[in-house]
Amino acid sequence: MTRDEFLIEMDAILDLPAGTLKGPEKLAELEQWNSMALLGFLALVDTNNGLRLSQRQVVLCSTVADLLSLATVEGVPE
Amino acid sequence: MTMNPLDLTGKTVLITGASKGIGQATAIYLSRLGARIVAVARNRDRLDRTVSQLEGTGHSAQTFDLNEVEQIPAWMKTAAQVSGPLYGLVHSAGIVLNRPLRVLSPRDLTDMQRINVDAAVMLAKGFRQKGVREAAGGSIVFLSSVAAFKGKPALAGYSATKGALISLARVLALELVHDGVRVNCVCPGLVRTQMAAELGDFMAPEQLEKLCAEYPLGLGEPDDVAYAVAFLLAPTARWITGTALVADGGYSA
Repeated sequence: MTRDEFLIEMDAILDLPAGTLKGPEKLAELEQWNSMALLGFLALVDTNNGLRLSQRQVVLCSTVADLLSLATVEGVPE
Repeated sequence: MTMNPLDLTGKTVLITGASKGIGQATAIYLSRLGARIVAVARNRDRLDRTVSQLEGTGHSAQTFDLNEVEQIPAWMKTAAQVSGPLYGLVHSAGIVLNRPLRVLSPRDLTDMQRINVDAAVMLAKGFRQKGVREAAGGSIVFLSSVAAFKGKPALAGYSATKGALISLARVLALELVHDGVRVNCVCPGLVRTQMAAELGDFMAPEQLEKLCAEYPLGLGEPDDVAYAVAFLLAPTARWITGTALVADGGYSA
């Protein structure tokens, strides 16, 4: 999945118009970033990248870009 | 002389999903009750580990991918030629996908439907074939879930398939009664299995703690479900068909 495709999928998960998210957005400031959106992100990564991430890994992310890093490379973002 | 009301001596039971979790525990427990087990799963190594833990003799392992739903009846005919006619069928194989509605895809639905429901239908169809089941009749148990009764976010697809099994059992109980076949469901709550552990990966610790607190008797063990399956299979349940036996530690009370 490309960066742009990922961002558009995340727009959909967060009920935002396509093209809204660019990466630097803080998750805590996104109104729709909640437990269901988190599960949606996990499902997105599992389905498209074959990566099984855990909730524990995701809560360490602060921004949308952190999620992108996690989605493409498994590991704890800096 | 002590009587065992759950005695399954001489009964051959085919169990899907027998390589792990509830299916494995059921296979082992039923073997302790005297049943001959036909253990079915995709993974040969895990299946062999299950068979090595069975008590008694006459057991067998069959690798088969239940995604090949069209092939199930023919495969069961072949399997029964090796094992002898079946008395019981337990469909324990299943898939759970944690998917909020916003990301639930037709592919997710198809994947769960195929194993959880379509395979159950075709297994029942295979079971009723002449020569596959004992002429006198038998007993089918589908592993449904308490999720069929009590909603939880992100389990829409999964819950729908488990609810479908309950409806399926009700219909088949009537359709197969003249074949002497009883059909029931067991509806487990959250049981300590690998599948449940993976579910825990999707939750925050406090969410998991809150979920566990909803079980008055605590989380279940695979054996707790095996006991319920055995009860429905055993001849002492001869007057029970078309039901859904909830085994959930009080979760849905």
